[in-house]
Amino acid sequence: MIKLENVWKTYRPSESVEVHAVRGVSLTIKDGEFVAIVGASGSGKSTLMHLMGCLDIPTKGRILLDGKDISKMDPSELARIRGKVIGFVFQNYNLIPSLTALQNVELPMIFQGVEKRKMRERAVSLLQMLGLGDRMGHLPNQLSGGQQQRVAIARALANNPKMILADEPTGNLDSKSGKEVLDLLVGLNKKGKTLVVVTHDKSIAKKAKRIVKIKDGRIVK
Amino acid sequence: MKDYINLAVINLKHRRLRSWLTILGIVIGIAAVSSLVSINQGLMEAINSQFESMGTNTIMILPGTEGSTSPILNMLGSPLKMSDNDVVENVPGVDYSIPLYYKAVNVEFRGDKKSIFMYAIPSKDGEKLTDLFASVGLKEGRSLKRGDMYKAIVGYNVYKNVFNDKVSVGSYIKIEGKKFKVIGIMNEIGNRMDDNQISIPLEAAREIFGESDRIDMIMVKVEEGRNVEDVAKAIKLKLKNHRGTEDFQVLTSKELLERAKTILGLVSIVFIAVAAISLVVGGIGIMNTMYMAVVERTRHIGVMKAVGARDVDIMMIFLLESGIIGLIGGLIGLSIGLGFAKIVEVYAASAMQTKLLKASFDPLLIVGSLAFSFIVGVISGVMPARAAAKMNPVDALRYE
Repeated sequence: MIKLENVWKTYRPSESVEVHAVRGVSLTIKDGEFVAIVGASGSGKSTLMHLMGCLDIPTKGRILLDGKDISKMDPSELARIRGKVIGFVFQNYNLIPSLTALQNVELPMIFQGVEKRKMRERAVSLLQMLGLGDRMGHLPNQLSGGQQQRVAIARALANNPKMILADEPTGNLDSKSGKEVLDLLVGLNKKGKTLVVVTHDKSIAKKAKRIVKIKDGRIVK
Repeated sequence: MKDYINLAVINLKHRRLRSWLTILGIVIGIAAVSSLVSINQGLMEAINSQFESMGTNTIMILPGTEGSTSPILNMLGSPLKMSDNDVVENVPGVDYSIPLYYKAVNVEFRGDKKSIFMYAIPSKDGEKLTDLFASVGLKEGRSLKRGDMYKAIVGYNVYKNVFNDKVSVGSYIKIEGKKFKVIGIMNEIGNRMDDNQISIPLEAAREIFGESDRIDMIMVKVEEGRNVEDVAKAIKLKLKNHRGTEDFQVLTSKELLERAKTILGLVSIVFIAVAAISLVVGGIGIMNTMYMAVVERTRHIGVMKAVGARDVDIMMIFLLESGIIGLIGGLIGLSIGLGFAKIVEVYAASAMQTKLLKASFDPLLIVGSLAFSFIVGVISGVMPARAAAKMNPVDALRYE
């Protein structure tokens, strides 16, 4: 369970300018929920996701992840949480172009010190599960967008995280592969993963059990 | 760790040309340093063994003032005389002393004429000289002995290479027109100058060249158990009294060795410093490449952080990359450097006929060069790797 208590994120692009990307957001997401965060670009939804994903720490307020305040954690503890508890899926897939699909999926496990043989087994079974059994040796640029996003989902699942954070996961995909990817994510949620999707696509939001609408850094609905 | 190395290698392969160009910088530096160190070490070893052949209880007395190392200039000074040898011989602690007379002479063998460096010693001292250079020894024949007149001992090169035909014991050679019988052949010493000599009795030299008193060097053997430096001091004092002025040098073999090593050491420091500069340039090249890699891979750094990489993990990946660049450069540079040193050795042996220039393949040099090149790589990578590790994940992910 993740709980945001009056969270602020303020940027200071220069001495005299303050930009409040997130203004006093309070939000609780329970284990196994599917929440869509919607809002226009610049509304602060991505910042909110970064905060929930432990990529960033709030300027003010608390974020409790399973009861622990992440704003008080040091960078290596945050890295550990990002590696083990959270799986990220990005709009532009963010695969490492010099690594094969298999190696990309193995990457998060390397940082957790998973034994080589187990790492390989896990990566292979994830890719097979996502229908990429015959693409494991391919480099990202040899794969279609939909395939790349499925590799990214496999990577997000590598360390068996509790929560998946997806930032516009279908934004770069045609409608057919977009639907496939969304179905995959929804399927994962049905198997118990907490799913948070940031999107401005209403059709995706409709599938969520809860919609959180953001405007100017605040929750409006 | 193995996975990190794997990642580093994949990244290096991904930008192959640039990696090789960067490696080249280190290759040149390590090749220069390792070949110079190798030759330098070989030279040191050769000089040591040369002096060992002379023995540690030997003293040489040369005309000329201290500090002048040129034997030619020294010979222009006031020469030593036979009476100097008598003075030296009677200094306590001197086992024996041998006066030497040098001259470049024309030698003819079976119609083949050559100019050869000759040294003459009193015939009675022949055995002593052989004793002094016991580690060189005679290949064939015997030393000069009391009563020998037109007899000669030839150096290894004179026997083997100087003339069209090989000179053998019992052959006759003509020195300045006088017929000499070859009675001995020296073993190979290993450098051209020493192996190209001829030795004859002083008595015969006096007759041919007329200079009845001049000598060019006195070699002294110190009695066993005596302190060589003390004896050298005593010789200096006595000889100064006798000659009235200190226009000569008394050198112990240890001193000579030190002197040679000092000069060699200075020369090599200069050369190695120059070579080291190229290594620094190579290191800067690595740093540049790594900074470029960090900037280019900013987003990947963000991704790696998002999937759980700690700062140290990122740091490690980049340091390994730069370290591997250094290490590969070191491996290639070392092979080239040692190969070059070996070529110098072979060339020196064939063209300059000296075995003094030897390539040393000291394991310490090999391991040291590799470790050093790896360290140069790592150090060059520290700043870029730190920049990578310290990146804010959100900014890194947003980087276009």
